[in-house]
This record gives sequence, C-alpha cells and structure tokens, in this order.
Amino acid sequence: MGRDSLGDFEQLVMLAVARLGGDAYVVPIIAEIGDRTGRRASHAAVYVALKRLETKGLVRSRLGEPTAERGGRAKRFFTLEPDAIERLRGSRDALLSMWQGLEEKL
Amino acid sequence: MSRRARHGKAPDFATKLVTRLLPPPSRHDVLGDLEEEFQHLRRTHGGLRAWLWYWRQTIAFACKLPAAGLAGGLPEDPRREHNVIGNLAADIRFAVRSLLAEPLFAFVVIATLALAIGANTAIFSVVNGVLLSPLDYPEPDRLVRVYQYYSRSGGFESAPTNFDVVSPLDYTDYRDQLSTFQSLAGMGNYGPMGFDLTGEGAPQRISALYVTSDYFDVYGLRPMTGRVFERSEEDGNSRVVILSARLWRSLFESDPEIVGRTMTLDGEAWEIVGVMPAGFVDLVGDDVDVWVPHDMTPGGFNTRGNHYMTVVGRLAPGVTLAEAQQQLTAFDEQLARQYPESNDGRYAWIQPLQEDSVGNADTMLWVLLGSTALVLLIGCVNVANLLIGRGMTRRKELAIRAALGSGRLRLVRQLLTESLLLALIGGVLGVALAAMTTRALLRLAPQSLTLINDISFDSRVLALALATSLLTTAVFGLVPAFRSVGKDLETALREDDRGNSGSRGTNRMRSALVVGEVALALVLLIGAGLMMRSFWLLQTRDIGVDPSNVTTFELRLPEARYDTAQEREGFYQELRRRVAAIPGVDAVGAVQWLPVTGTYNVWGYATADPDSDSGWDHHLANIRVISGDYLDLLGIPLLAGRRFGPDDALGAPFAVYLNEAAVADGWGPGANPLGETIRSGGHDGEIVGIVGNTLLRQRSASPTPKLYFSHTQFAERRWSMFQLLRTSADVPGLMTAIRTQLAEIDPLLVAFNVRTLERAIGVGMADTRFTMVLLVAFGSMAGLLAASVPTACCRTPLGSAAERSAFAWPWAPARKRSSAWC
Repeated sequence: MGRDSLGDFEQLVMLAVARLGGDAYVVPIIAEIGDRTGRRASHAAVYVALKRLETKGLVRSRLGEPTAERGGRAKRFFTLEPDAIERLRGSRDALLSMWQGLEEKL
Repeated sequence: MSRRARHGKAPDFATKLVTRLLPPPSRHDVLGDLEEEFQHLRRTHGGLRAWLWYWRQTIAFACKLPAAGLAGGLPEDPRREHNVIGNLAADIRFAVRSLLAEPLFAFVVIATLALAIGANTAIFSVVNGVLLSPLDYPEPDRLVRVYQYYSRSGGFESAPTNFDVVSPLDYTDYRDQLSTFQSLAGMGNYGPMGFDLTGEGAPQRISALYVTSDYFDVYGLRPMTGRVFERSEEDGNSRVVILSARLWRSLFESDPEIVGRTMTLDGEAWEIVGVMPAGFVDLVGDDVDVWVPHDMTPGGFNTRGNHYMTVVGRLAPGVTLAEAQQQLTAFDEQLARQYPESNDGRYAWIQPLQEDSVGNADTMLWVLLGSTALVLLIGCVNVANLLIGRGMTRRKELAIRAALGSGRLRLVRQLLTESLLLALIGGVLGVALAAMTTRALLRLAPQSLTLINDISFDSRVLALALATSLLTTAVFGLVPAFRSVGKDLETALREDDRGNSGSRGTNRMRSALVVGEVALALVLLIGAGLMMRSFWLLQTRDIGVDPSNVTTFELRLPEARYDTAQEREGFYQELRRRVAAIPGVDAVGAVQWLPVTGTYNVWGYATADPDSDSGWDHHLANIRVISGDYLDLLGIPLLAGRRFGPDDALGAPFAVYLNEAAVADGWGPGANPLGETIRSGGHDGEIVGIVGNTLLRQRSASPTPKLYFSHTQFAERRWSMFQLLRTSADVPGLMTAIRTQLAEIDPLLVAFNVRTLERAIGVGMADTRFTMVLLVAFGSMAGLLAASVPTACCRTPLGSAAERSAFAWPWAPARKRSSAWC
C-alpha cells in the first residue's frame, strides 16, 4: 500500500463527514459511526484521524460560532475536499472488485 | 465522583490535562466537543457516568496524541512559575545535567556524604541495638544481675570493683528467704556446657545450659509447648530437658508431639519436657541448644565457698534497685553472722541486667559514636566548602541567568535542587554502605555486644540517615545559594576574570571551615594513633604464658561412662600418653580454664593465722586444676619447690602451687611459704611450689592470685578439661590423628572447640581490637576527607565564564586555570 492510502477508520470518518453534510463536527461524527457500525470511537481517535486527513488534504475545517451548551466554545466543522470523494470511490471500487465472485464463497 | 461533576462541570484536572496535551489551535473546539457530550451524558446517564466517560476520553488523548505526534507540548501559561511539578522536573533535569558536566565535583560530594552517613548510620545501628533499645523481655527494667564481692574493709562498699559470681548456697538463701525478688535464677556456669547427642543421626556436640527451675520465670517467658523445670528437679538426678526452637526444628522436624519423647545425651535418656519459643536469647548468648536443671543439692561442689553461679533476678513489683540492694545487704550481714568462715565480708551487689549485659562496651560505643559524629561533621564541612566553591565559580552564570529574567527565588531553588539531589544520592549510597557495614561490624564485634538485642537496621536509623543527609546539604547548599545570588549579582557581571575568586568574607569562611576540618581530623587521627599504640602494647606485653604453637580442644566425659575419679583420671592419662606419641607433639597438658581468658572458679582460701579468732586468714584466688606438662608447655616457671609427682596421688594429702601474686597476697612479696598449709575447696593442702604469674586477661592491670591443684588428686569433681598440646611446628593432620586416638579409647566422645591458644586468648581482646579497627578506619576516613579539601575543594577556578570549573573531567583539553588556596 502507498503512503497516502486510507485506513479503515479514516474511511469511516470521511464517510460520516459526507453523510452529515455541513453539520459534521466530532460529536455527530462519533454518533454516526456508532449508529451505523456499532463502533464506539473516542474523541481522541476521531480527532487524530481528522488531523491526519486534514494533513493529507482530504478534509478541511472551519470554526463555527461559540455556544453556551459547549461552555462558550465554538464547533469545528469538517467538509470533504473533492480529492477525498475520488479516493473514497477508488477504495470502494477496489473493495467491490475484490469481493466480486466471493459472495457465494464467503 | 467529584463535587464538580455533581454540579454539572467536567473534571477540572482532566480538563487541564487535555488542555496541556492539545496544540493551542485545537484546544477550544476539542474541549467544546468534550463538554457538549459530557453535558449530554450527565443529563441522560447521570454525573458519575459522565465523569467516568470524561476521564476515559482524557486518558485516550494522553495515549493517542503523543503516539501520533500531535501532543501540544508545554502550555503557554503565564502562571508557569507556579507550576510546581513542571518546575521541579525542569530543575531536576537541569541539576542532573549540571552535575554531569562536573563529575569530579559530584563524585567527591556524593562519596563524602555516603562515607560520613554510612559510618554514622552503621555505628548508630549498633548503639541503638545495644544501648538504646530495651531488652527484649517483658518488663525489662525489673531484670537485674546479682554478683557477690568480698569487702576488704569488712563492711558494705558503695562502689565495689572485685565482683565475683555467687555461691550456690547463698543463692538458695536469697531465693527462698528474700521477698526482694519475684524470681531469682542461677546458671550452673559462666557459659553453655555441652552434651554429646547420639541416636538422632550422626553423633554431634550440642550446647547445654544448666539452670535452676526459676530461670524462665525471671525472663518472663514460657515454653511454647510443654513446661518449665520444677524445683524438685534440681536434685542432680532428673533427666529432663527443654529444647531450643532451633534444635526442635532441625533435629525433630518441628514435631508437635515432642513433649514426652526422650533423647540420648552423653549416653543417657533425657525426657523432653518443653520447647522454648524462637527468639529466646539467654544472657550468655543465643547458641544454647538445650536447657537442663542444675543440681542444687548441698554438698559436693555446692558449698558456701564455691562461687560459680551466674545469678539473674526479676525484682518484685514496686521494689526499686536501691531497696533491693538494701534488703540484700541486711541479709548478707545476717549470713555473715551465721557462716562467718565463708561469708564474713561477703556482700551481694545488684545492677540492671541491660547495663550488665553491655558491660564496659557502653564507653567504647559512645566513643565510636562520637568519632562517627566527627566524621559526619568533617564530611559536612567538606561538602559545604565544595558547594561554596562551586557557587563562586557559577556566579557569572547565575548573574547572566538573572539578567535574562530568572527570579532570585528561582535561582536559589535551582541551586538547592542540585544540593538536595546530591544529598539524596549520597544518602541512599550511605544507607546502602551502612547496611553492608553493619553486617561486617557484627562479624567483627565482641560477643558482649551481640548478646541480648538484635542489632538490626531499623526505620529509625534509616530516618536519621536521610534526615542527616538532607539537613546537611539543605543547610550548606542554601548558604552558597544565597551568597551566590545575593546583591552583588550585577557586580559579578562586571567583574574582571582575575578578580573572580570570591569576596573576602567568603574566603574567610572557607578558610575557617578548612581549619576546623583539619582540627577535627587531627582529633580523630590522634585518638586512632593512641588506640593503636595501646593495642600494640597489649599485644606485646608479657602475659606470663607463651601461647605460640599451642593447640587446644575440649572434651567432656559423660557421667554415665566416667562415674568415678579413677575412671576420669585414667582416661586423661591414656589420652595424654597417646597424644604425646603423635609425631610433632612436644608436650601435652590440660587445665579446666584456659590461661589469659578471664576469671573462673574464684574460690576462697584460708592461710593459718594464729592472731585471728578462727585461726585462719581468708583470701580469694582463681583455682586452676592442671594435669600433664601444663606448666612447661606454657612456659610458666616453677620458681621454688617441687613439681607434682607420683606421690601426689588420689587420696594422698593435697599438694598445691601458688603463684607469686598469691604469695604476696597471703604472706607478703618475696615470702617463702613452702610447706605451709592452706585450706580451700573443702581440703587442706600443702604448698609444694611457687610458680610465675599469669594475667587473667591480656589487659589486666596486674596478675591476680592463683592456686594450682593436680587433676590426679582433684578428679573427684567432674572438671571439663581443655586439652593443650605444644607442637614444634605446624603438624599436618594433627587433629585427625588425635581424633583417631580418641576414637580408639572411646568412640562416642567428641573433641570440640579446636583452636590455637593464641586465638583463644585473642577472643578476649575482641572489644579492644573492635574499637581500634573502627577508630583507625574513622581516623583514616577523616584524614582522607581533610586531605581532599586543599587538593580538590579549595581550588577555585578562575577565568572566563566559558571556562569549565576545576571539577570538569581531568582529562579534558588543557585550559587556562589557576588555583588559589583558601
């Protein structure tokens, strides 16, 4: 695998960001992953994954307005870069290709 | 759960941790995410669940961020000066780097502290164990030792010096008629005797102590199983024995049904009636295997004039030492009226058992503790000098740091951290050194120091050591710290290199410290020198015997097989004949107590005195029962008269030798009492010879009176004889040959305690040697420390701030450095 290949958890985070649209920040991302996969991710794990994706240029972030519920702290929203969608599709195609013909056996 | 969580707030410390872990741009949004979910959880699942969740998240951040290389590093906190842990860690890191940069300095300071603290702690352990800890028995302050003494003035003496052990009949009178003691016990000898144990594997020699029935009551201890002896068993015929826990474990495999079983001692069956608990230590030492009842039947060796019993007692409740002494004295005067011949001028003397068990060792120990205190003081002065010197070399560095914004307190704290780090390392090494030294000390120590209390390395000693080390460097570390970062910091910056050798005040202080240190070291060195000289004089003085090339061993003839005087004398004569025939053996003899190993069998004796009412004049002397070539073998000269001969047989009139001291005591110096009669041990004897003096101990001031009897005539008593043989040189396989001969006479006998006479006499010098070795060690240590000051400590490095100090690696490239004596 190449250096920029996507990890399993990174793909889950990117897909959760895609599903949440413009409302993707850490709390709903964790909830989305949990709801769909049953995997209970920690804030630290999601934070590290998003930081890596940001470094790779696959997501970008912006700060929202502070809210009282969060102790007067702003949310950091994440959106996918166009390159990310392409990478996700590539991963999916690769997986489907590998699965082809195996449904009966596995 | 914290009060914060109950009130809806996230854990404060966890929040701070997350804040520290995260890089600044991410802190607010991540903390916002955590806060949002924490509040949601608190509402839906309660505060505890939320609190636990928050901490779990914090731990996840602590684990994952550093691993991912995303940790934020130290926070840009304006209150950083108050971050105690962070600053301490930084201080320690800096201190370690700073000390590593000057390893010689660090080594000298640490070694000085370790040596001083190690020596002090080791000696304090011994002092603590011997002098400060009470005896390990219930109500130890009621335990006393009872002596008797003969008053030359005829009345009670407030400070007698000629202590004697107690006569058995006086002991029974004290025990039975006085209410002074709750219990009073006697031991049948000065030390443990022995038995040949057979029937339990290979024959072996075990140590036995003959005691009266009150013995264990005095110590306030009971057997862990079985019973103590009964008064009726002091009859000389009862074959009952109490085992030590050690023997019970090793020989009988801790048999719980041991009471009632029998064991074979000296060929006779003895019934085991009890087992003492582990840890019970006798007055005479901790190596007793069995206790047996002592024969207190009057007559035989139990007479008023035969002083042989070691007596210990437990005072009755409420009776003080003075009251007890008063009652005993009144009772002694009553005994003197009743038995004037034996008890006129006889008084008992009691003293606390702890004081007695330490003997003269207390003076020795306090001297040693004082010496180690001096070593510690010298060490402290040395360290202070080093720290001051180092503080001076770092004034520029400190001035630059102060100019760059470091607070004065911060700089002092840094120097103090370095000092405390040195103290801790020195302290830990010192404690390790002390632990090792204490063990070595115990091996070297005279037996009198290790009789009663277990000398161990306890927490109080440890605390003292650590407190000493911390205090030493805290005090001496602070002085240079404050001096170094004092008001002349700015001046220091402007100072020219050539003038940077310290202020006049500092130099004066360092000079005073060095003068003090050398003076203290001199005190120790002179003390050690005097002690060495005393020891040398003792070693080389004429003790009256020549112990070179003399080997000695002990034998005990069991009563069952050697019941009569003829059997015992016959055995010794046969053994002597066989041993003398071994090639290389020049002379063979025997005595019931080795020369120059202390007092033993001090008997009263009387010389005819027509002026006295009774017709006799009473004296005291050490009795020696000898056989074979005893006198010639040891080089004791026969000055007048004749030797014991074949006519001095069993049943013939007693013949006796007197030494010169006994002649001087009874008739005056230079008198010739040959042919006169003396009365002792229930016999009248004729003085047939006058022999040379021998010392009781190597350091005895003068010889004491001695009477010599022939074993041939005195074999009615069951003397346990030390066999002595002189060889012309080292004879290989000597003891094997002797054991072969012994086995041919009686295969069940065991020759034990084999050693040279020089060694046997040397044991009596153990405490003198102990003091000397330690004083010399401390003196050398002090000298070494004092010498290290001018060569290492006072060398004040000069030069620019870039130059290294005198304590940098000695093999570092040559650099400009000059020295100044302080």
